Amino acid sequence: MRHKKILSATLSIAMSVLMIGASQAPVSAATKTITIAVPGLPPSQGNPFKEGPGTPGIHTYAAMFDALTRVDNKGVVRARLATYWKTINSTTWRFTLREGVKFSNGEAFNADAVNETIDFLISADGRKTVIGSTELPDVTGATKVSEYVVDITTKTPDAILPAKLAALYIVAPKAWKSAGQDVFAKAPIGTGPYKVDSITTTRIEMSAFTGSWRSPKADKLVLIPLRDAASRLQALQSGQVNMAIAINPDQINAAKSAKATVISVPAPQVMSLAFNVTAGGAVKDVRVRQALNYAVNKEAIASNLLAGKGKAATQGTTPSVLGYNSAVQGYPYNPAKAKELLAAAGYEKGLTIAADITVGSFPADDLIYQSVKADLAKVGVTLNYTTITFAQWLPQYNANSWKGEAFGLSWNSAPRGDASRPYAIFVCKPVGAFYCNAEEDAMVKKTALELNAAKRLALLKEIAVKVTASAPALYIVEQIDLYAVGKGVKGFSAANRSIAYENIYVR
Amino acid sequence: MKAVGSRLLQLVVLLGTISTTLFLLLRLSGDPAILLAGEGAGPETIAAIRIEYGFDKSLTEQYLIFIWEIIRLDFGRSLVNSQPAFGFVLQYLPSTLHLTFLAIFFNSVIAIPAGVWLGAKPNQRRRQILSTIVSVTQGTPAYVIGLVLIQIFAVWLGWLPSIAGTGTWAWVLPVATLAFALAPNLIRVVAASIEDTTRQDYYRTAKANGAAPNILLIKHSLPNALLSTTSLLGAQFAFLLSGALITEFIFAWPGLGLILVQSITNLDFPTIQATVFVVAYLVFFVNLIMDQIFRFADPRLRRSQL
Repeated sequence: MRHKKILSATLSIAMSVLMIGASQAPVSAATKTITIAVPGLPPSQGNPFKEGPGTPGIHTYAAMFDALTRVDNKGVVRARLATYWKTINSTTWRFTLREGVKFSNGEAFNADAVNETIDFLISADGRKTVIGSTELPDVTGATKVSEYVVDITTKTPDAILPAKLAALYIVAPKAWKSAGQDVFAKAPIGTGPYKVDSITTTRIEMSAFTGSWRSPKADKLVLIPLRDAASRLQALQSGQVNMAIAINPDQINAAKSAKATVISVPAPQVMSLAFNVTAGGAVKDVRVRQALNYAVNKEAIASNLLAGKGKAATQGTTPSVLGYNSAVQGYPYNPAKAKELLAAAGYEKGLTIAADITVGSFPADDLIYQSVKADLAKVGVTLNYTTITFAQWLPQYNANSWKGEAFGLSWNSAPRGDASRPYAIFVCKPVGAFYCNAEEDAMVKKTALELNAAKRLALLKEIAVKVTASAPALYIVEQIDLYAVGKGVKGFSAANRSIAYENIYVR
Repeated sequence: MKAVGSRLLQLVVLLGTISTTLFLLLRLSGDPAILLAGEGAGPETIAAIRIEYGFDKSLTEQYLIFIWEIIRLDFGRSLVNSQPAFGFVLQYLPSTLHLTFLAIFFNSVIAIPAGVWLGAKPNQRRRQILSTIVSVTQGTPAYVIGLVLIQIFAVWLGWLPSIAGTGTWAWVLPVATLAFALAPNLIRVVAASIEDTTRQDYYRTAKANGAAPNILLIKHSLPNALLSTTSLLGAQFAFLLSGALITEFIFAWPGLGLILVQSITNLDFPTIQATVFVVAYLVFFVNLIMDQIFRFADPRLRRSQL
């Protein structure tokens, strides 16, 4: 009897604690605060040069910084901090800057600010950052022409420098110089709609920068990293966040039942299995590569695993990317033709392919790889794939030290929205080339030097035909980004994963 | 005094072994310079980064520098956020300790009475029902428990927040998740220990002498049962200190587990090393405290030290 009392008292205390918590829990945020669940925050915090131009940095930096340009969902370069640009000579672009723009610490945005950012980019420290070393390695300097005009020079002619500069955020020059990289990362200053109040690894809190040229409609913006997609959805369902970025396709109905709107934005990325052609083996034969492309039912994958929001990939770019060729039909599902091509290549009894892949980067990517494996098995191809981390993937990619015939690779055109970015990966690189076709290589190089927009576009479309026919990869699906926008949230839009934070508010 | 000296010697050996293993494993796991340089970085960039962070030096040289830095508790700066790694890790320690102490407290509050009740008369039908529930719960991963608790208390009832740092009561769901995940094991151990004491001679003698059931339980069964319980609680405490990873992931709880995974993903050597060392120190001291508790509670151990 006494035991019963002890147990009952214990349970009562536990329940009381829960109930007290229940009555005081701050379940929803203030109405003028936008709280967003994101998959991650940039590890280098507010230093916009150390991160690649994609996720997770872009979800954060779009709120606090601006670049000179931005690229919209159709691949068109639009004005940002620069309003006009033109070529002066083959290696110099002249940018006219937006006037009256201020940084959140009161500094004026002008040619000096651009110079300061470019000076860092080309310095020894700048060249050690991702933006300085891999996104803009050919930029050689900036020269002030007048208060709001600046010339930016490159090593070789660069037809798409304005698009590439969408990856370069301009930092407040005095704050950057006086604080240095490390301190600046904790208190970044930009021209974006929000200024940073605090940065930790588990939360970024920002306040409206009302003096921004992109003045925001909400008072505060809070970004909370929830790595698990289920947690992001539950946070939205419970009203703790106003939006959840990157939900999974199988969560769409659950999000809708919580009265959220699910917005699918085509990502300028094609999920693929790239072939290690230079290493030899079966994939050296173009017929094998084509056969593998015909063997996979990409339409079914897009329809079933991406909830009909994604599309089967026909080439290495997506319709939103400059250089996409709608005339290229790719490899529609045709297992009979796949078998025929395999037989012609001498693999009528089938073959085994090893691949290294990473998962967790795209919606349903693990299921997509399983589906690819199942489809290939139907034509006698055994795909043995190993899941590795990005930390394991990167050195193998840079050095082309893959042990297998294939590896997971995304044809990423972001943020410049130009087909030349993924094509530049499939070239005869001196180090780390996994595919090399002299004819295609020459075309890619010619495109890089072509400054006439119409001629360049024609060249890119021609490359799409050539490269697709060569099938250097198994093109799987055009990827999507899914945003769950909670009830009452207005003004959401995104282009190339860059969210227009200034327009978002809660009604 | 001799025992303390012996323990300190063990600490030195432990840290020496951990540091050497850690150093070798990290160097085998990949080149952080490549990761820092990013996709498509040229050899010059990678080489420059390698020189800056000292990865160009010989392995022996790197090891000696590493050991010297550890002695001075200087783990270097984080490769991704440039903060001193030791200080960075210590920032997250209070969070982990907060979660750990509360989870252990609630785990004990739930599991010890339930285990005692279960072990006192294990063959009663209603106790067998609880035993079955405990067995099923023991097989449920913390991830599932966490998501179910969020669904009930945050989504359906709207009573509690599920994201760390969103209010005074944000700790309740992560703590409840851990307590529910750890409790079944503790319940079973307490129940088995209580049941075991009822078969001991001293218990049967006391019972034959007419001791009341409550006296038998409180005076004879419980103190002995709590010895094995203390041992398990110590192990659970050490486990939580190393970071309740899944729970920290689901609730965005800023603890050591989350930091450790992030630093491993980024091959952030200094932060990995600092985190592992902080955890190793804590686990060592928890074990030291548990030893003293055992010595105090069990006269046989006290005698063996004489």
